[in-house]
Amino acid sequence: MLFFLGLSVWKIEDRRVQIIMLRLTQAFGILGVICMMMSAIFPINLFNIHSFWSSALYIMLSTAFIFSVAMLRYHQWVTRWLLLLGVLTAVLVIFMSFLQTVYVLEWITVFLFLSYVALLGIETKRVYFRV
Amino acid sequence: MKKNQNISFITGILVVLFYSAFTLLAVSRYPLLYSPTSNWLSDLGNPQTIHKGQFFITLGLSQQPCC
Repeated sequence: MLFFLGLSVWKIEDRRVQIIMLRLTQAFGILGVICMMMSAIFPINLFNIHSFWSSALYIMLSTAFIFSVAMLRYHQWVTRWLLLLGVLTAVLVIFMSFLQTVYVLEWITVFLFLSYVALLGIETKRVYFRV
Repeated sequence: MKKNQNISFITGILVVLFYSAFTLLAVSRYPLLYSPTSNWLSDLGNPQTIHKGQFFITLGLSQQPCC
């Protein structure tokens, strides 16, 4: 939650659309972490409720990542491969929804989720360390 | 500005560390055969498969919103 709130440093004051993208990133990100908490409160033995929160978690976080990519595109110095990773992660969530019995796909998706979060955090520090 | 910049950096790293650590702990305490090719991550938090690892995955997922 703090991670998404901290992304406010990427705001460009005079770019209204960029600010909207940033706020949508934060809104969907925060909804995603709430869904994560709910999926822990309702474990997998309560299958239907857990499935709902788990699906919502992946949808919310991947949507947040897509908006974050759109928001970061306004910054020319952000490395392009990081944006590609964000898009790839979201695309993988779509694949996962069609291939629900391929367990390993969930592990790869979570690995990419964590990688994107860590790398975006590092990029935030790297870019703004120069300012 | 400087403070906000560090929040995303620190929490980004913490999320990865906590999530990985608690997942590994839960896997190490899972009583049945556990494999990424035949189990969901959520299986680690199943209280019906009574094991000590369930506590770790629940704790790991519950603390993520703090970051």
